Amino acid sequence: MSDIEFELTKRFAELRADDEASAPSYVEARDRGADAIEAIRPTRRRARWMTPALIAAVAAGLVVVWVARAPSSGERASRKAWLRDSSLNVFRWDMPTDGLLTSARRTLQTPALFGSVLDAAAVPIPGTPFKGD
Amino acid sequence: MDRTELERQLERLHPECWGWALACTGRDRALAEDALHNAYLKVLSGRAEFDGRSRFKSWLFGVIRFTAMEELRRTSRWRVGGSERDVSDAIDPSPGADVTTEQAERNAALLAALAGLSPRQREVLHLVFYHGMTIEDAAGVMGVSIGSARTHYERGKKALAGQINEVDVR
Repeated sequence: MSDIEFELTKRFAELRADDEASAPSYVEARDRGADAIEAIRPTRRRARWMTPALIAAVAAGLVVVWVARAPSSGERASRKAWLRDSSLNVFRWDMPTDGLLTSARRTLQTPALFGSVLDAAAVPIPGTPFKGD
Repeated sequence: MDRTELERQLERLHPECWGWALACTGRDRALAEDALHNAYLKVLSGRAEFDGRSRFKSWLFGVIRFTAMEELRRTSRWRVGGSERDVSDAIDPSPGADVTTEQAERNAALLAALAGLSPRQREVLHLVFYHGMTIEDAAGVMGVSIGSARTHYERGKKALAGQINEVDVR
């Protein structure tokens, strides 16, 4: 221990002796706090179990709602069938402008009464202007 | 630790706790009593729980320090180093019968010198020289790293020695 440390130790020891001589007793401090401790205790005890209980109640509520809203197996099957057959089925849906992709000539052509191999050949319809005319 | 054991430990450490509470409140006796009372309340009611990671005394001093800071904030009476007060106020006007005037003067000189240090330096020196703690334990109480506590200790020690000499010369 250096001289400085020795001197400081001595000085602080004197201060400590002075402080301890004027210190309030432990009993005084403890008794002063006793009422407050008793007042705090019930609140604390309640708070300890309240939080987990609240979380459990919320979780149980969510499970009940989920079970109540879940469809039965028959309901699920009918919903699947409806989706498969419905016009809403995205795999069967046709674009409204699909008709524009068909040649106008073929669209306006009168369907043949009797099918022929020549049906594929372009036959001018009387009175209908062709683009090349 | 059960209530009986807590009480036993608190009673054993009470004189030291009182000194530390005084140091944490700028030697304001009323504030020190409030801080100590509230700290005991926290410990005994379980609001502050000892987890065994440090020595009980270090942990308790940490609780007292924190509570004292709360008290100071609450009363808006935080003083840096207690320098706003006359040092003579810091000495209890009714010291024990065995405390001589000369000792009271020496204590006043020490407190005046301490008032010239930074709060951290003052804390670490108090913990080491007043309470006989190691710098490691003091760092734990102050909530700083050991390296930081050591730096505050070394600088504070030199500054305090210089200030005591100055006051003594006067």
